[in-house]
Amino acid sequence: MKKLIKPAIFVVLGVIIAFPLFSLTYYTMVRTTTPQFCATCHEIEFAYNTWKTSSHVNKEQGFVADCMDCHLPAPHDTFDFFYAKTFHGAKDILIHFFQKEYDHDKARQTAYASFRNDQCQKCHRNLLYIPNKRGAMLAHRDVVYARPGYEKKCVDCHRNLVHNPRGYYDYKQYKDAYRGLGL
Amino acid sequence: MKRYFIVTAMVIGLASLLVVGNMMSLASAQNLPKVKEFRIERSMPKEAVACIECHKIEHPGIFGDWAYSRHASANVTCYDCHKAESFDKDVSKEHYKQYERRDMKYGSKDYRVPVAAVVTPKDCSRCHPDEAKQYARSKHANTQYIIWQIDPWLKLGMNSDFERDTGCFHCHGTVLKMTKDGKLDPET
Repeated sequence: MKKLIKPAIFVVLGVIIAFPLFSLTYYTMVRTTTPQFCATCHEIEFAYNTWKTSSHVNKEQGFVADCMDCHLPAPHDTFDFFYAKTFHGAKDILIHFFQKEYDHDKARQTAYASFRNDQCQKCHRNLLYIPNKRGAMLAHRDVVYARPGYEKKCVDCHRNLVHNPRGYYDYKQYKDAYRGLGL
Repeated sequence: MKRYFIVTAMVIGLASLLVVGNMMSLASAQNLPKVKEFRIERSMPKEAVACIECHKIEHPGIFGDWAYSRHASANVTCYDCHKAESFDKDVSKEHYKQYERRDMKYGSKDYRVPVAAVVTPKDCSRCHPDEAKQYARSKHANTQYIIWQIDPWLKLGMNSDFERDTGCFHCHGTVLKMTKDGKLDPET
């Protein structure tokens, strides 16, 4: 019995120290994952404003894709998500202080290069059966079951969707039927 | 068995007495008109309640205009049109101070939100996207740009600053500027 007292104290102490530490970390992650937080950096205001009026926010179903939904690995890949987020945060702060001008076009191309298909496919999953668009259906088949050497990215055909300046809120339900740009 | 019957009968009797009593009191209620007043009996964000209750006292005119408007009857509040992002250039810095007032129930940081005095077509388009889209293409939305392109008098700068300020920009000076202390520049 006496043998157990010491380890028990350590376990209780560990819980007392670790619990607030973990909840603090978690709370920080939650707080810093909102688009409003991203927009606290001056450079991101453009991206935030254009996102806010885009069809990735304004659609009938009320479904909203936040910054992180597209720009970071899925949060269920906790490890990847955590480290990618921290890396981007640290990098953005460095660039904010050491780079003179923020080049939107360059940032745009870097973003397109960094998108991985499974980031889009977190939400866009039902891609293979599109009864009214035979071409899109075949194109998606080519991407989802890519032959070696013919791999393609979602953003090869679907780009310029969100971060375009608009004078009004561009509701998806009032837009013409969507058609990908193609290759 | 008999006891149950008596109990049931008593319950039914009591219930019917209550119903009749209720109906009688309803019949005797007088048809008094309600005093006309503004009551918030609808769902809206607490920030919007704060706008309304404070402006009701501070600017009864503005409040009255709104209260009699179609927007008010559609439950569209001040905040729905005047809301802004904290980093927007036209956010009123002066208005933030209102939330530090201690003489008002709503002068508290619980209700603190960024607002802008000017409502742009983009703000309207949150609810009226088609109208905003059509307006954005119209001559009225682009008058300032068009007249400076095609009117030689204006294009070649043949008028004076005074003329421009009073004659053109008074109505068409749609490029707003903020002064250093965070107020809208009255010149624009």
